[in-house]
Parts: sequence; structure tokens; C-alpha cells
Amino acid sequence: MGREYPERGSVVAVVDTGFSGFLFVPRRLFDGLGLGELRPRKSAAVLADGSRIEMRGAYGAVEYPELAVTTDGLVETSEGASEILVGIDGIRQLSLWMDCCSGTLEAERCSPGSPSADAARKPGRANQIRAPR
Amino acid sequence: MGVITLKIDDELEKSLRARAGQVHGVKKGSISASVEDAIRVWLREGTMEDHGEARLYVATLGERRVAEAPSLQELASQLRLAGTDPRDVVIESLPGVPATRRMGLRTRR
Repeated sequence: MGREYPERGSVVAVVDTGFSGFLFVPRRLFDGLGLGELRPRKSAAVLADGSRIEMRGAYGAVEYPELAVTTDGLVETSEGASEILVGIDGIRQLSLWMDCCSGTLEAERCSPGSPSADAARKPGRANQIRAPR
Repeated sequence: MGVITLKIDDELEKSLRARAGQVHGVKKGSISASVEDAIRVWLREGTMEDHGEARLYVATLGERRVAEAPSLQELASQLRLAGTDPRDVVIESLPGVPATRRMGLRTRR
């Protein structure tokens, strides 16, 4: 539809690894981008408490300009949505490091030879969280 | 049109028939259309910039596929060149998006 949000600068969004989708936005943003005009499809979402809500979605793109990454996916909304959530599908082209010691989140674009990709394949890397016995 | 006879796993056949019915409707040709979609996606794997699975975005006007591309930007360009308004088509991705999403703790009623 040729529309962008924001028109200038960037926006803060929450990376929600509990969200299996691509992008979840407030209704006013969904409509403001013209996504409501693109024959939105209906879907359902299961919340953390097990209840279900209805969602509407249309295809759009998210740009991470500092990483030179543009990712396409189904942008969804629901009544009452109040913030922008980036789900697992929205970060599929990224490697993320969460450093809780320094309170920082680092991101890097996936590439076959990237240190993140190589490190993830090395044995012994702590990429799993195990519950204590 | 080429004709290929296949032998596939029983469970896979069951899943294919169910999914073909959902995507293309329960009608003649839906299995062939679904297999064509899957083959197109598979052929594109390794040629796309996306990390992980290859995707194809398809625009359909009624029963007719009017554009397909590996990115929404390319799809939009094809629609523009064809003089087709994106509001008139149905856009889907291949592989398809699951019908149900799982939300995290940040989303509440």
C-alpha cells in the first residue's frame, strides 16, 4: 500500500518470544498502514491463560535498517492490542543475544558464515536452558 | 502438462489431502495445485536470502493466480506492472501460516 510507520525515524517494539507469529500491532496502526484494505484474513490466537481471541491479519514488511534486514510476514491485530510485538517469525532472520548483566540486547543478521551461526553449531555452546533436577 | 505418478507415505497423503482442501477447496485439481505450490517453494530453497525456509508470496484474483514472488516488494512490483490493485487480490504465503497463533504473557484480554 506504499505506507510506512513511522514515516520518519524508528519505533520501539517488544520482542515477545512467547508470540509465535510475525508482528502484532494496535488496531489504529493496522488500519493506518492500509492493511485493513488488503482483504485481511481471520485467525485465532491462544493466550497464555488458554483463552482464545480473534485476530485479523494482512501481509506486510518490517525493516531493521541498521541490520540491513527487511522481513516479510503476516501483520496481525486484535481488539485491545496496545503495543507492537515482534514474534518468533519476525526475528527469523536475526541472531539475538540477551545480556542481562549489562541489560542489553544485541542483534545480528543471519548469514551462513556469521560468527553467531558458527558458534551455534559448535558443541558445548550453552544454547539450552536446563531445569535443575 | 506433465504427469507424474508418486508413492508417498500414508500419513503424508492424509495431511496433503486435508491441507489441499483447506487451501484450494475440495474440488478437482486441488491436490495438483498444492503439489505444484510445494514444488515451487522447494525449488527456490537455497536461492533466497531469507535464512531458513524459502517462502513464496502468491496473489490470487478469484481462481486465477496473478502474481508470485519471493518477497512482498517483488509481488507489489508485479501487481503494479500488471495494473492490478493489491486490494483486489488475496495474498497468501507458501508455506502457509498456521491458522492459530500462540501469544505470550504480554497479551491479555
